[in-house]
Amino acid sequence: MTSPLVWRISRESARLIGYKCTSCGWVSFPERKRTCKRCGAAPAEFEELQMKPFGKIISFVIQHRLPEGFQTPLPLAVVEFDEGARVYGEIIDCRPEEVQVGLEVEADLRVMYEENGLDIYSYKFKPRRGSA
Amino acid sequence: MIDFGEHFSMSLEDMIEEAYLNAIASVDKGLDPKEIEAAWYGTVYPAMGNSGLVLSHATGLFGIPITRVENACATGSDTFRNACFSVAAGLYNVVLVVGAEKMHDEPGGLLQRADLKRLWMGRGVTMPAFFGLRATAYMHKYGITREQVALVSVKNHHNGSLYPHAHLRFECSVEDVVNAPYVSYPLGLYDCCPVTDGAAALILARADIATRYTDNPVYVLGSGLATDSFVRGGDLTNFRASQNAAKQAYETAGVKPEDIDVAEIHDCFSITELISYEDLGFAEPGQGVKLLDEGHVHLGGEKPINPSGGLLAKGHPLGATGAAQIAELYEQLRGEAGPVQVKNPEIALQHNVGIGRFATGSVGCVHILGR
Amino acid sequence: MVDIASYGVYVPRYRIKAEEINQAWGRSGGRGEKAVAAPDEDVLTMGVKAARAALMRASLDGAQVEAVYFASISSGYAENALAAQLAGLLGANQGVSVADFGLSTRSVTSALQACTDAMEAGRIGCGLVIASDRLIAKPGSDYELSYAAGAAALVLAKEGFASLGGFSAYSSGFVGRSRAEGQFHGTVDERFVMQQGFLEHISLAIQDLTKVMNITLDQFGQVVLHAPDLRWGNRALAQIGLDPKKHVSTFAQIGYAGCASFLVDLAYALEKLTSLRKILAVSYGPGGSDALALSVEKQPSKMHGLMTVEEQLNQKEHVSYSTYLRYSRLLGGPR
Repeated sequence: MTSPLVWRISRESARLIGYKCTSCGWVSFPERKRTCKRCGAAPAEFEELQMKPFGKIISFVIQHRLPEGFQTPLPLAVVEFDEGARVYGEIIDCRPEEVQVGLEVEADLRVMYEENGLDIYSYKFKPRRGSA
Repeated sequence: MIDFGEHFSMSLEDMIEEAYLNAIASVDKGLDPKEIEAAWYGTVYPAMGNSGLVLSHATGLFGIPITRVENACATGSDTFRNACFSVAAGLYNVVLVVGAEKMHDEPGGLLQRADLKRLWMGRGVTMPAFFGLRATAYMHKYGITREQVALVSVKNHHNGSLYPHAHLRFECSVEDVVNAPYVSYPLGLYDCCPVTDGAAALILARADIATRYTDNPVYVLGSGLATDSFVRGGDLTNFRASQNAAKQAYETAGVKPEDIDVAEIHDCFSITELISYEDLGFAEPGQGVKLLDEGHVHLGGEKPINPSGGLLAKGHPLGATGAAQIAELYEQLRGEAGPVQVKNPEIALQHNVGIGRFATGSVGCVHILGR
Repeated sequence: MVDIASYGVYVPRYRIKAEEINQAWGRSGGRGEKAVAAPDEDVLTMGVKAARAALMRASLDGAQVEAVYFASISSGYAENALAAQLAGLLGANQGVSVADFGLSTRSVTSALQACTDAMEAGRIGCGLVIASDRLIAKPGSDYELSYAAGAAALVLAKEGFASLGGFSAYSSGFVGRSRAEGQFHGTVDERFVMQQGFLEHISLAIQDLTKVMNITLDQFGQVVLHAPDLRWGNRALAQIGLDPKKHVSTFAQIGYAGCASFLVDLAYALEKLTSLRKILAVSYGPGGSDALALSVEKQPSKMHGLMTVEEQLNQKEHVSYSTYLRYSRLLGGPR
């Protein structure tokens, strides 16, 4: 990573580390917070939380118009991790028709963009498929 | 205000200048620019180099306080709100509000603006996507079809076809809306507002001296503003920012949703208007479509909404939008709205809901005006 | 003692058939298929997945790993720190030993050897060896039929299910296939490289191993050969006198993924194991060959929730040549 923007959240982002407010249970991810966005506690006490790479789609769109750098049509969702944190995520490894509200997804490490010739990594989401 | 549209030949300052001159000319008993004691300027882009100085250079108003306001798509209405505070506080007798946005100096406009690098946040999230996510959630929860959502576009394009200042002046059918190319599924092209240049100016005076300028003043009865974020939880079928702003505005005005005779509300996308019916208390959750089915919100209905054609037809030059809505309601309350005049309205509501902070936050702003 | 405590494999979801490639170039026929990475996958994303699978199978936390050694010939970087990035993504402690290996597909066994050495020296107790490659061949070339993507990882520990019994290296100045930075593999006399390079080097490495270990070839129950071409592998079996049934290869299903192919095949051999036996695994690349002997003492654990190699080979989606070309990113385009 070459930019402070990525570096600041790199530990949390790479390893899915969230912070849980001890007064209301809200989970901040990937930002490390001292105030709570749900209950407004200030200062709030947060516990570090190792999240699992699983969540579900709260809502989605299929993006047809995006600037250069994105492949379209692109399914894009609000994903809620099982631990409660909410993020935007691209849905991969499935046909656009498969994407639906409530679909269980798994976070999957991917290259997001390039900066100065370096691949910058984060997670996209793929449908959670059963395994034997 | 000025005609909204694609003003390739006009600069941002040209548009502000024209809106300003139109506002002065509209004062019934006349106004000397020297009477303007302060001004508020609302605009969204760009962040740098577009301060209150732009308003000075556009209007020749130097030597007085001019403050730039930016609050996402609620910029125009929040600019107005801040100007109101100064007058209500008794600091000034007469102040100017200008909202303006040049959307056409950059190719593509906002339709395709999305961040590539804001991981977990705004990456890939365009404006149509942000509202499209609401549409999917709303349609999923209440079993609403794209055809039903399209009724908003059909109504507003009808109104826009009549309104002289509107950018898009054509009618469209439900079929036109659902068959248009997708921008961000489930939203198609006609579910989206166009990319529009525009500016609007308002002149505010202390209530007790307003009659020096006109015998027909419009009064600001209430105002509210609130922020929210979906990361806090809850489903995506409403905007709590709008709900809280509306609550504040109704309380300060001492009126109820049923008292509203006409409203200009935020329909950046078809779904936004439908959800806003519910956020503003005009319909119960999930029941917004009924207002459209029954013609309740159409021109000639009991509570016409967006007689100007709304953002969908009139256009949505971000910083100008809220100010223009207030200008339209000013005309409505004074009976000057011409082909889109609503029958004898007494209380009007203006509403914006915007997104910001890399598409993770929303801001709602509501004003209530009366004769 | 150095044992293999776990393995992990990542095979990308997409495949292209040799026939589809041939068709695009106006040729007919073609056997087998190869794995294709999505445009937003690279050697690091694939390597992380293989490594996470290996850690999960061993019920290990990233913080318990004391070495992360990474081998790849296709990272595309002249300067970067992939092993260290991998260590960070896996949650290893900052004191972890990291090293990047490359320049030859044989470097996968250099990494394995380095990790073994560190363990035998008592410097570390648990190490992770990861190999990942995403080979892109010149469109229209013969290599295009086989160059593929994939990753695999091994956890080495003091106690595992298979012991690394012997190791033998054979190095020469022979190069064969090679590639300059940012370029495709050049065309070489493939028969020359197969005979004087591949066959010669693996034979001598194997010969040395059997001598050192005082063992005969028939004592090996399974054989992994690091062949960049199916025919090379078959020729080697015949020449060395090995039963083709003992040969474990994923080549026909996923093609050749450089450093990764060696570990993918080794993992597949471990997974397919029905009885406890010895495995012969021979790597090859420019510069030489390494042969190693594994003694399997226990059945590796089957993990619930972890895809087997077999499942990964079978869970696939075929793509057209135009999609393949887009995924290769030879034309640029979005990730």
